[in-house]
Amino acid sequence: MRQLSGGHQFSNQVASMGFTPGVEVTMIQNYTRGPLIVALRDTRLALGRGEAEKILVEIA
Amino acid sequence: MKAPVTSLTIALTGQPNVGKSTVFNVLTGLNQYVSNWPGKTCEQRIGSLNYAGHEIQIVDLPGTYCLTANSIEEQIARDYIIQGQPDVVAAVVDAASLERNLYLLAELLSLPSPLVLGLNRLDVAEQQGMKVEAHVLEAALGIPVIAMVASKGQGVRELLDACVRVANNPHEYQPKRPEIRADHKVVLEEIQALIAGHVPEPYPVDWVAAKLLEGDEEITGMMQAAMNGSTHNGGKGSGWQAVHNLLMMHEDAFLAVASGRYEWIGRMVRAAVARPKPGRVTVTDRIDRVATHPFWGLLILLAALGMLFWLTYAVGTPIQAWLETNIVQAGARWVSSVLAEAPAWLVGLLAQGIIAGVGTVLTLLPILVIFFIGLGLLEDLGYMARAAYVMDRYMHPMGLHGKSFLALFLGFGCNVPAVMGTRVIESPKARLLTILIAPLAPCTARLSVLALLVPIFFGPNAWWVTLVLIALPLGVMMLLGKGLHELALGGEHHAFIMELPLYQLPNLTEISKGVWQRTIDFLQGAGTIILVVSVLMWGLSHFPGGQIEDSYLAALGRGLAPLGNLMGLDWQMMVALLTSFVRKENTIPTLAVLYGAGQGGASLASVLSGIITPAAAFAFLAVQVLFVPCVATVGTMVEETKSWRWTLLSVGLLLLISLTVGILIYQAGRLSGWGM
Repeated sequence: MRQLSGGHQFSNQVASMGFTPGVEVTMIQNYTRGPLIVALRDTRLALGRGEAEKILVEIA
Repeated sequence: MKAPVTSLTIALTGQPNVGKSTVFNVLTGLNQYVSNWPGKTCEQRIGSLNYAGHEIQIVDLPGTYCLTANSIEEQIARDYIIQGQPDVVAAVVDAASLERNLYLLAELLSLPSPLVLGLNRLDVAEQQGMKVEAHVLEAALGIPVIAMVASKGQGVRELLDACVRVANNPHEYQPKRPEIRADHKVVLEEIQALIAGHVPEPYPVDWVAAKLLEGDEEITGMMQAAMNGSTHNGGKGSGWQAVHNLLMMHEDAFLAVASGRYEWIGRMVRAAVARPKPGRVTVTDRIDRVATHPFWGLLILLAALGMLFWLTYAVGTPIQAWLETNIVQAGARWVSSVLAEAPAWLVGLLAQGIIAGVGTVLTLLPILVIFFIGLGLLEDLGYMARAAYVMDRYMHPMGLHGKSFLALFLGFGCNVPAVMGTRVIESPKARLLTILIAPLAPCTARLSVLALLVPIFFGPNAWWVTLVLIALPLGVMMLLGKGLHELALGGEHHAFIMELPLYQLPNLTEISKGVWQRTIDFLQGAGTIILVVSVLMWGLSHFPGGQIEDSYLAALGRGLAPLGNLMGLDWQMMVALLTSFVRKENTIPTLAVLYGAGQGGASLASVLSGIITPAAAFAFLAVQVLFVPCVATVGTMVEETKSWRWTLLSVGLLLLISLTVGILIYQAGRLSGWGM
């Protein structure tokens, strides 16, 4: 993950769930609509689309 | 050396889905006391036990991912640790999710209470091919780390031993603490220097400084108030100004704090955990391919709920019927025969008031128990999170969560399990909202009234009238949900980010304990209310004359006749509405008695169709489906919300909405000439 945009509260919530700069995120499921599922730090997380848009990643 | 303690308090913490409740249950068995945290709608559990000559009290703190001020649960947890000052804090982590679970520990380490780490679910970790070394972790962390498999009861005594040891030997406690990311170290020290001496007891200075950098609202407010009073900085202005300026320059410091913690965690985990080769697809991922699929997932959810529903009624209804005949009715008959000489009102009070009231509670039990078992299984399996995931996008516009759908769905059978089912919803606000609108789900009792009355008045049109009468409460439910969410509950929108835990085999002992606990809760809370109100209602319908036609209730009905007229209804139908408060099914028998149907061969159908116009009947039925919930549901609502205020709000709103709609329908009919 490279960067978080969005409000203060959002970034805090998301960062404490493990989204810190440099963390490796794996995409598990992404159907064009509805929430996505990613894996990071040993856990599976479901993310809403709006939230996912605020998380900038770099593809490795 | 301190004198050995003979009584201590242990606070149990952990992130969600780590098996903390299992640990709590194993520790306390049935010696648990459930209530609410003072002034909050969050559940509090406290248990006690006697271990090795020590009186131990265990406080189960709400499961939280971290300790910010963003949610009630987090506030409760950190307030308790800082102000309640437990002797020891036992943090439970899941060995298979160590990297994320340790984040909470990283936060806890800056708080004053000594910590013990319970490394749980080692069996699951092993299944995943991970090897986690508890003693390596202990050496790295500097706090006791206890290997546990709580679902099998393993490691629990060792956990208690460690807690007692730590409480008795505080000088031995030397933990290694995480540090903030290097680039922000200086700022943190500057802030600590600025606030030193102003931090109110019992908050630790370094913790407060880190929270200020994080932008924690509660702590920022606290320090601002504490420092605005001070003037000893002289020319530099109020002490707070300097702190504020510093914080403004580093608004993104939270990431530095979080990164620092994760870096530290990373080092701990690398040392203690050996992972399998990547590329293994877990069973969980395989199942999830279908379970979270937008189409198949939905299908599976509906199938699962359908099965739960079917099972509850296929098994529960016969048991209900048996209880009704062999206990309730038999009991009433027995009382009548034994007290044949007693005054009629006493016999009535006992047989139709009290025994009927008890009967209501009793006959609800089979449905509730089966349904608790079903819910417990789904939760333990891990499927609940997937169900919530699939339904969330449909529920969010109404301010509800995916799990709300589960509860509301059950309302189609009976509203009581629907209200109790809201316990699976984590967010207290979403839970409250779901409870408030749950009574709008058309239950089988209401549907049975519709099934009887609609054909009488609408003949061939019965099918679409029924559909409208079912769609009506659902539409109102969605509107009311949205309305309450925006107006009464703050309209906040939490970011949708949800953990999907690993699937696991359900633990039957755990589930049984949960079912038992929930059943007892129901009996003690809602059950009592239901009994009391049922008896009261019986009294109103019996006194003073012994016949319902001359009763206070009938007098009330007559008094409401003008209101009824606005809907084309006479006083008998108003009384029927009143009795439907006790049990929705009462509508029919009440009408039968009040209209003298069944005497002289005139059936209720023919009597009614002669008296009531279709428009009025439509209005009446609309009021029925939107009407206040039955006693059982109200009792359950009071118990689950722990608040008469909110329950009465819901009841009041439904009363208002149902009567308004009824009046509108009838008046529309009158003006248009339809159904008159």
